[in-house]
Amino acid sequence: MSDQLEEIFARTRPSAIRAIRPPGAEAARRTVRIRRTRRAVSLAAIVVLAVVGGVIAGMRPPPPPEKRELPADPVKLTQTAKVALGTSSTPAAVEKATEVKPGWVASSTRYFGGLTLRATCAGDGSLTLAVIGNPGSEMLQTEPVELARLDVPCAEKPEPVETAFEIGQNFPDVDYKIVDVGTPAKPAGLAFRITSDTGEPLTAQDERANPTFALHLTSDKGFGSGGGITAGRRGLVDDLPSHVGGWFRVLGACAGRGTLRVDILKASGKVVDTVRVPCQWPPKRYDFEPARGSGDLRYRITFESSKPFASADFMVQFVPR
Amino acid sequence: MHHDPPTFDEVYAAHYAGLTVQLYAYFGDRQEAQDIAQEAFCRALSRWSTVCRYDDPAAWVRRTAWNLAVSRWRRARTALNFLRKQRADEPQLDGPSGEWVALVAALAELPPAQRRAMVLHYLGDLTIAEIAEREGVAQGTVKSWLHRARGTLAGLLGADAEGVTHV
Repeated sequence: MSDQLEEIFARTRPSAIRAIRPPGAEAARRTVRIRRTRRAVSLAAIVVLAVVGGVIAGMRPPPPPEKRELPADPVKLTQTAKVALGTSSTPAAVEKATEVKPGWVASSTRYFGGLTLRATCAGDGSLTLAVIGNPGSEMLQTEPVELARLDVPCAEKPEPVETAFEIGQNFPDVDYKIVDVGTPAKPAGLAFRITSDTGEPLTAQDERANPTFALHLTSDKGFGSGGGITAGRRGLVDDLPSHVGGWFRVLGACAGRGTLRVDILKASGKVVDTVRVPCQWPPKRYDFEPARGSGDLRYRITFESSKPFASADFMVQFVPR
Repeated sequence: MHHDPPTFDEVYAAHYAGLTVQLYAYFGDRQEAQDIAQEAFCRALSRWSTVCRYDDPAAWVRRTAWNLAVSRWRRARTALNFLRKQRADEPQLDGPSGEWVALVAALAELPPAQRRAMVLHYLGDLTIAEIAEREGVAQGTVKSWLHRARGTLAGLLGADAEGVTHV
């Protein structure tokens, strides 16, 4: 088998190489250029902030004598905030607690589904927590984007506040940042949690979130089509390759909330049959045996959802019978 | 035209596809393999004045790519790949052969270390000693990995590698 394996590797390597699309040396130069620019801008911003901060500190008049109060213990305040956040019925995607400091930041990968950010703050004042998406290095968009913003009032007996958001597909990394703290900053503790309507949080490295894996295909027999799809749009329409024939099974998996509709069409546009794949988290494979078609066939894939512009990811395989 | 030291474009043109195909076999995902290979070349480019003076600049890129492949970076980046690899315009690309798909599926059944050893040995043309050095293990361990992996692959590829698994 060892020799056979060598043969198999040698024989199949060219077909794999043919499937590779090198982005090119120029694309690498562009990426490096963008990163250098970003780094330089960040460095310049830090220098400017330091200079401005120093000037303001120098201009500030001496503070009037104050009644001295013992500072509250930030550790205890953080603990109070955590307790006030309560427990969650579903596993948390992200759960953090910290002493409130301007500029504090934590990061996570992208999570799928509709997300809920719930936060509490124990102590005095208030803060704003921003969720910031960082674009992938090869995206045309290079600047971070604010995905959600939550104003969190601080109190001795904190009450949770929450907001809903989603992390778009362009943001593989996400920052959670304290962007605004009441002035002068007073000791406070923050706790927050992010949960997903997928139930157990799913990230892209989780194979269970991948419709292709959900199909459990062991070969590329037939014809496959997949990708992102948005409700209310025309969808994907294309010819079915002739090698699929007119008698086939449709295997479908869809990640999201809604229904993936697959129409088998004659060249004239007349519908031969329609199958509907339920979209869910995690995606699950559904098998269909649509009516036999004849002649040149086409397929049309659309996504139906009660939420306008909701999106899903799918994989559909047409396997000859 | 060959330069001494080599230019970035020369090394990229000569080694990108070969490196990517190894990562492709390891991950079973072309787009992810391409991303990692590209990232390794980007890192090489940002310090090319140093890297180009090494005896084998391509070896530096390969080492970086494999380090990325098993690092946290790779896991964080997968979010992007998951969606991008299924883009609707992808089906128009020429796909690999069914035999390659079956081979990659069989490799995916191996533990990561065995899979790396197989890929580096059969596609990367690394010797057992070189793999052992890369993985930080004894040569005997690599031999054992390869032996077990060959046995597993023989069973998997000897079985029905065609068709669709019914669930």
